[in-house]
Amino acid sequence: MIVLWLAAGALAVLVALALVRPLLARTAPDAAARLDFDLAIYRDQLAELERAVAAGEVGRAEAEAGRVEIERRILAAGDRPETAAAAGGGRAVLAVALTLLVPLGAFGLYAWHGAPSLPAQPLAGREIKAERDAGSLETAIGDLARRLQERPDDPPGWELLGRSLVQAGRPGEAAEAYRHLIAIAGGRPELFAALGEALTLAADGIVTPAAREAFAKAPGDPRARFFMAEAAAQSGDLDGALRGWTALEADSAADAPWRPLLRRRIAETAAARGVPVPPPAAAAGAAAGDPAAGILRLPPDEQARAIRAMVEGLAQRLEADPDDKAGWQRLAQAWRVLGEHGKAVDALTVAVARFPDDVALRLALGTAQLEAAGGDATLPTAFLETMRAAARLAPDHPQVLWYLGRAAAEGGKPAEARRLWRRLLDRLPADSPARAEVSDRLAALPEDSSPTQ
Amino acid sequence: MRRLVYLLPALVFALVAAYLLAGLSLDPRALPSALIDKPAPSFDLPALGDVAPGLGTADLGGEVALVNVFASWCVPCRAEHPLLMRLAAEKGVPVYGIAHKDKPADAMRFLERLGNPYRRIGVDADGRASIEWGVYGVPETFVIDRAGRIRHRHVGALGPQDFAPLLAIVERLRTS
Repeated sequence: MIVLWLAAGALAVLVALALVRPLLARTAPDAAARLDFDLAIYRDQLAELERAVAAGEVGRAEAEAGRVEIERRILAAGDRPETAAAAGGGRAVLAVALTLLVPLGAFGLYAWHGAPSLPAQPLAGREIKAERDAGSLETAIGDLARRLQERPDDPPGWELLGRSLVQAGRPGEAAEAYRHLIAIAGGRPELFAALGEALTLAADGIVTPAAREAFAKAPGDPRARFFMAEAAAQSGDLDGALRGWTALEADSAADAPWRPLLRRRIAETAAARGVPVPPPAAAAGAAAGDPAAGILRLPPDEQARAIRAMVEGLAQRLEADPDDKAGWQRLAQAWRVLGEHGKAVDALTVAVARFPDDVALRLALGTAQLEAAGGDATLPTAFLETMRAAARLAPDHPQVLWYLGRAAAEGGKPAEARRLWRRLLDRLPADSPARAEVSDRLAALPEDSSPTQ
Repeated sequence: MRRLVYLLPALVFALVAAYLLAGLSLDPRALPSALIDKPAPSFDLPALGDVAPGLGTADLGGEVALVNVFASWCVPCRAEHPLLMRLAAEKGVPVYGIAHKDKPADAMRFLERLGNPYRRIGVDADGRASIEWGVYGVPETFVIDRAGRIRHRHVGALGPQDFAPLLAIVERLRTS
């Protein structure tokens, strides 16, 4: 701050000096020197004229006319110092005015347009952070998409992919992911709401007919209600929009993250409609729906901070109340989105110990363990233990059969692998793209002396 | 006297600056259309694929209607689109479209995504018909009365707050 003012002051002084110097330099002594110079020339011209007359080069009459002209110039030169001195007074005023105007003008402009409270932005920190964040999210999305290409029957994976794509600013692809998810996992209201939001974001915030259709299938979902009111506003039905938003506000908890957004849209719409802004409705008893919806509309850096705060809050709540199974799943999912695979494993390990009979938790733990290990090129021991435990609960789950089959094949037990993968093939739907890979791996198994059927 | 010559550029600058400064506070939407209350210009535009039939002067009149100049590449057009959808679907206002300097494939994708409120669409590939209409930027919307005359012109995107006034104009023309 101080440096800025010192620099600005020094610059103002320099500019004022540069402007004023030529004005002050042209003073009387300068004019006198010039007069001497002029007179010397005229004297030389007179001497030259005398010489020419003496040599007979110039006639008497011409010489007389020349002398008169030169003497007239000498007289004119003698008058000039007075005018220069007169102008000197005006210059002094101008110099003073400039010295005042430059710094005062600069200060005034800065006060008008400057932003002294803006934080410094060192070049080094400017882009790298954003690039790194975007980069890690893009890689995570790439990995996830590749994994889902191999094993498309993974609803939590598709949900994560959809969410991450929205976060990465690729809502069109996110909508595709949600469509696929709804096709394989059936339409839960919040999935339709997520699909509608992705479609809306893909159309630059316009609630398209397709998005409307999706929201209509999630009638109670707060996100769907919000966007249905937005659709009304966009089609010019400001009263309908206000009704929708105030009703949603009345049904929302006091700490619902979308409340500020609702308030803003209500105020804007009331202003456009020319009606008084309806007062905030009293908070409803319980929060409904997905708090992530509000976060998606924040700017990216705030978004990351808000997500982290939300996730840490959730982690603390679960420590106090570990019986919330869905909470553990949400927490693990959130850590995965943030790229904290170790923390996802920790959360799920606690949850599995708490709910030892829950297959979905164990499978999620397995997925997190693989992600923490950076892929399934080699299967970690902890992961295989999780899979074996899951096999005791759900011996025919495709994920369990696939990985235990791989463990058997890589552990030199082709007969066991064959048995598991054949069972897997029986359970995979006829059009599953995973069938080809399973069949290939089966064919590649070495022959065994005592094949089991 | 010669000194004043040096001041001339400064003087010219001051004049131009004052002129432009005054222009900044003018509302370009407020510029009146030379076509108001005149019959719609004569034009005849081909259809957009099989999305809707083409549009020409002969199609206007008989019924109070809107003519909306749009383009898929124009972002404000997207914002006003839900409004046109509602005018057409809920208020039964015939909406005609002029696809301004747009590729037919792009215009079709645009309508597929956002819905098609247009009863007829004329493809104005080179923008010549838009010049006839005095359009100087998309989107623009005209209200045509039953005699086929232009009665109202809206420059720029229709905002949510424009819905009721526009509908009022249409209703008034319908009953008059």
